[in-house]
Amino acid sequence: MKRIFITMLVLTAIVLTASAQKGLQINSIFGGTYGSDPNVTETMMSGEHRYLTSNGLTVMATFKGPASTYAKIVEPLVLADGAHATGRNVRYKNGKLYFAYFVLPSVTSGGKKINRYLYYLDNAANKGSNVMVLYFEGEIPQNLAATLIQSLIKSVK
Amino acid sequence: MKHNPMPLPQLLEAIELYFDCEMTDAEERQLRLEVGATPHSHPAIDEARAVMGLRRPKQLTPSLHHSIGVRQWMGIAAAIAVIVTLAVTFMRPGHSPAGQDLQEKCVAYVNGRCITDEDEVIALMAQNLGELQNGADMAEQSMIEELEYLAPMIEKFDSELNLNDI
Repeated sequence: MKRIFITMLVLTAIVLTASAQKGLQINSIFGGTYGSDPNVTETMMSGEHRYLTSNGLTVMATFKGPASTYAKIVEPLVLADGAHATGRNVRYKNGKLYFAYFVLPSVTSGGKKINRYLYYLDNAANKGSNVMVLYFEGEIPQNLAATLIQSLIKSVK
Repeated sequence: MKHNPMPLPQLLEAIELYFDCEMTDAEERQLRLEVGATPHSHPAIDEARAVMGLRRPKQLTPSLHHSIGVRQWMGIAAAIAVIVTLAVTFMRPGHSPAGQDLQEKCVAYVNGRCITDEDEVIALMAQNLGELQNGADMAEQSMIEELEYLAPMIEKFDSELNLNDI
């Protein structure tokens, strides 16, 4: 009796752990969580917007807020998601995470492989004042993702 | 004819003879009947019943109760597993900030306000991207500067190193 019950609990724990790997910790800072703070700027686009589809994206989200308030909130979330990254470029300065670029594990959605990328920047470590996060996903390959920001900026100008 | 049960002292004496193997087969058969039907309770009687393979009717009840408990526990464990699995499926964080269903979204929060105009959202996004790109460029530049600082030292170390000395 006890063995069967313990076995089922262990199996449930395994399912829970496996499921948790796909979810992102940074989800908690988007969706207007800190939107009422006048010092925070958050943007979110998803779906069939030309701005996204022309660059092979399905989702793009940015977050910017004062580092004095949000670095301690955002940095652990970014590092937690980055712990499972398949590629990374991380820089520390003065003992703090200054810059990070993570290639996150891809997922499958609608039969398509979706690649996911995460940028983090703490400008306070470089005479700035903001902490920033950029997340985007889509069919865009890794070799194009690194130069995506420049092309996105140019497409607006 | 009504059977009168053997008195307890006499029964205990007979059980002692039984364990000493001092009974005939007929006496043992008689004793078996007595032990199975006696209303008396005594540890020696219980031991005799165990040796003779006689069960007390009320001993069956605990094991039957035990098997019902096992089924109930398995049912409870299965129900918990199903509930937890459903909860994980519907409540777990999505793989994307846009949510599990990736609905059409175009929204920005700035200065405490919510904006849904697509052109404004894109402009804000591009502004954030510009700041991020500047920061990324500075991070890359600092890495290049560090490598330029290290490169001459590495070259000097390589030129002074004689592999034959190792």
